[in-house]
Amino acid sequence: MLEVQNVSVFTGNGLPLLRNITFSLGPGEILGLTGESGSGKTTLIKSIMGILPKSCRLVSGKILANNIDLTALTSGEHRKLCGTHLGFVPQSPMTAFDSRIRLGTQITETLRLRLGLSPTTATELARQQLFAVNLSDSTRIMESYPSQLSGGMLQRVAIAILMALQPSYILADEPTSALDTVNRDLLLNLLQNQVSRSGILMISHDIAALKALCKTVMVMENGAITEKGSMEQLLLSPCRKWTKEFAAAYRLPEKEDWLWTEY
Amino acid sequence: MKDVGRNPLGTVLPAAIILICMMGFLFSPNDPFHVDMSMRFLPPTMQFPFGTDHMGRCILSRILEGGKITLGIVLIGASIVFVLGMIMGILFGQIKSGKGFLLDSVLNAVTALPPIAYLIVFIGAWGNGVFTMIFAVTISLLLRLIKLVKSETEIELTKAYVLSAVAAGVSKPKLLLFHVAPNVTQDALHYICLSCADLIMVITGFSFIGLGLGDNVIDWGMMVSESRNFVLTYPGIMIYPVAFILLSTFSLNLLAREIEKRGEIHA
Amino acid sequence: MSETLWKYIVRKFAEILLTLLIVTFLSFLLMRLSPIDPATAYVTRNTAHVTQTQIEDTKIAMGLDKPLVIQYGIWLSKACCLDFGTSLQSGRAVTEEVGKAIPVSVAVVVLAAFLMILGIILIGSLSYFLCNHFLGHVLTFLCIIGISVPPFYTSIILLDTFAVKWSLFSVTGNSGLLRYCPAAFCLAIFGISLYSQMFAKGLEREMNEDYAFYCRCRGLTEVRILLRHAFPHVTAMLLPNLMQALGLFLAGITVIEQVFSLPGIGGLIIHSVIQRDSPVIHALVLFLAFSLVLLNITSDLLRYLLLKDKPSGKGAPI
Repeated sequence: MLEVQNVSVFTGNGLPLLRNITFSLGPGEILGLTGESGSGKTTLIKSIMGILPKSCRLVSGKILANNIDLTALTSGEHRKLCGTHLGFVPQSPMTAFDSRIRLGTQITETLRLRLGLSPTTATELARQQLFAVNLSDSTRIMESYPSQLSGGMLQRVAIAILMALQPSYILADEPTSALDTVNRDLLLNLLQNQVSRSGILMISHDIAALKALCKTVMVMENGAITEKGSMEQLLLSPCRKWTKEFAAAYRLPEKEDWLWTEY
Repeated sequence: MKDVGRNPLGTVLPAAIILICMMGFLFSPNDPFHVDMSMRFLPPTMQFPFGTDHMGRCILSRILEGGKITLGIVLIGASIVFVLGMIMGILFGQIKSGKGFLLDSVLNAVTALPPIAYLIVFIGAWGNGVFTMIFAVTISLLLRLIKLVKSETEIELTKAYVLSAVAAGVSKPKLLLFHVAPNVTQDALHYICLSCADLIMVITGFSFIGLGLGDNVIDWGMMVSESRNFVLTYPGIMIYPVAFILLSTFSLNLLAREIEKRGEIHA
Repeated sequence: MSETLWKYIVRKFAEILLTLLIVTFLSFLLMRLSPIDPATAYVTRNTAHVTQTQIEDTKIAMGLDKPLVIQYGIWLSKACCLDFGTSLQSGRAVTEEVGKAIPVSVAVVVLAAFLMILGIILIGSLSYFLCNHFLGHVLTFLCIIGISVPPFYTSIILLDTFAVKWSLFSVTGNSGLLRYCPAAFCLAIFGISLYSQMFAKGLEREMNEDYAFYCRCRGLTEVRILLRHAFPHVTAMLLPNLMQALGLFLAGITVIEQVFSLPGIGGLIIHSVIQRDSPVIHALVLFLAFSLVLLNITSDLLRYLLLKDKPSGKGAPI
């Protein structure tokens, strides 16, 4: 159970970034989070990961992961939980990898350090996981630099790392926003497959995806969660201004729903 | 984000210091060249605020006179460089790439040498003197500024706002003058300030080792080298010129930093 | 990829040649435009009674009677065989004079570069870690002072306090590398002050990049991200600048060598400038230009190798 209880985060100048955020995420659950940009969604992920910028402080509240209070940990201890307990899917895969280092090195670096594997087993595991995310040409992928692959491929590499680390909770920060439709569907499928062993917090503006994947969707505004409910509910009876506009914008174009492939 | 750029003290103070160093000679209390062997090494008094040197000359007046020369050379050179560099850089920068290949190579070639090397060549050829210095400073900085402004202009011209301005039918001279030039100015000024600080050190350094500006011309580097002979007995005399060199280079560096910060805020 | 590399090498090579040609021609042109005639200066220095015929004879002997372009051509063709004529001052071959001076200066510069790299990494990392701390501001302030202090002043201080007052090292008597240390240190101060701030800023910027964020999310430690990921990026960014700084050092060494009385190219430059020894000046200019161009190219190549970027052919603006 990942529980966020009354978390508030302030900047150094005393501006609130998050106000009194409370929610919980159980295994096998996908929780959606949406809201306009700048409303604090990424800050929330950063506070859960314990990597808030130096100028920001977590003023009050607790974040419990499997009954461990993350806010009480030192940053080093907290960091040890990142990746293996708290997985992350980046927003823009094109910039998420170190442009100077071959992808294979970056993947195995993570696997070696986080799972304590030897270089050969790490490479082996990396190949397996790349294969599992439909990147069958794993040798080429591992030899490539990030700039030589497409966004969709890189995002799948990120998922491969995620799967290898087997975190209990996955925080996905707009994982599909930089992808085209085909890749988006592929990625959502992969995420969906993870739900059997992890709880997923998915930040997204993609209504179709939120509707299809998430039982509950939270709307964030100015650092606070203002609405909560199923996507249908939010679309049908939006009560806040932003949600109303959001819902209205959704109704306009013909919906291209994400096809449910395996459920 | 800290709001540092708004602090007027950051720009006004260094600028004022430089101005005082340069224009101070108008208010010098004594004749900087007046030798009076009976008044050697006097401690600071009302008449000689910084005391007198080994030939009984007023140190303050000499400092102010030296400031006029040292800073004068650098700042006159820099002003010429700024105007010419901006104009030529922008003009070269708007030439379509491909056409300017030869220009590019020549610019790359001549900017491979740092300003100091040019100064050495000029002094070597023409001997030392105030006008040689001004000329050498101008030439050596100009080439680099042209290259800087040129590449900045090329970058600016590919930006979206320029494209939309072109689409809106803004004429090319207008575009360059009102849209590109203001954006390039910042970097040009930053470069000029840093180079000025650098040049002050180079010029004073040269005159310190004897490649001065000629006879009967006072400058700070020469004052340091003169006072060095007495540094063990009268360490105070050397402090003044060094302090003024430091003050002016420090102000210029601060100014450059302030300009850079402003650029970051606007960007 | 290799084709672009070849194209790049050919272009760079052409640029080197062009640079050397332009720079040496410039030095010829300036000498010619000079108000002081080298032949007159030479005769005045060497004989008591200066006659017009003597000057004319010397002019012919020095080849100064021919048109500038031809003089330049002759010099160039000889220079290709490393023959730079003889020094007007000492009568020895220029190659010998310059050859003696180069190792001294190169030793100082290399030592300074070494000190500088060490200092940049140390102070740069320190000011990165202290960036929101009071001490960090103090460090920044010190660094601005460091780039504002004229190198000749630091060298005087060093010399007067350590050598004269405390006699920790003697001014001229030291041998080996120790002899070059004080000069190298004075040179390095400027570079350290300038680049450690850039280094710290670079580290800060890289650590705010997306990739660093994702690395943290994968649970890599801060030190690991700093060393394995941010560090190479910043190094790659700074190396070209550093190389150019070495070029600046080579030119800026003039004053410092004079203070520490090291017989390097700095001293030679000053000497030949005062004595209007044009063959030596031309050779030194060529050497300076050549080493600077070489450093520029090395920096470009390093950038290419480190960043896997296409070399732009444009050096850093400053």
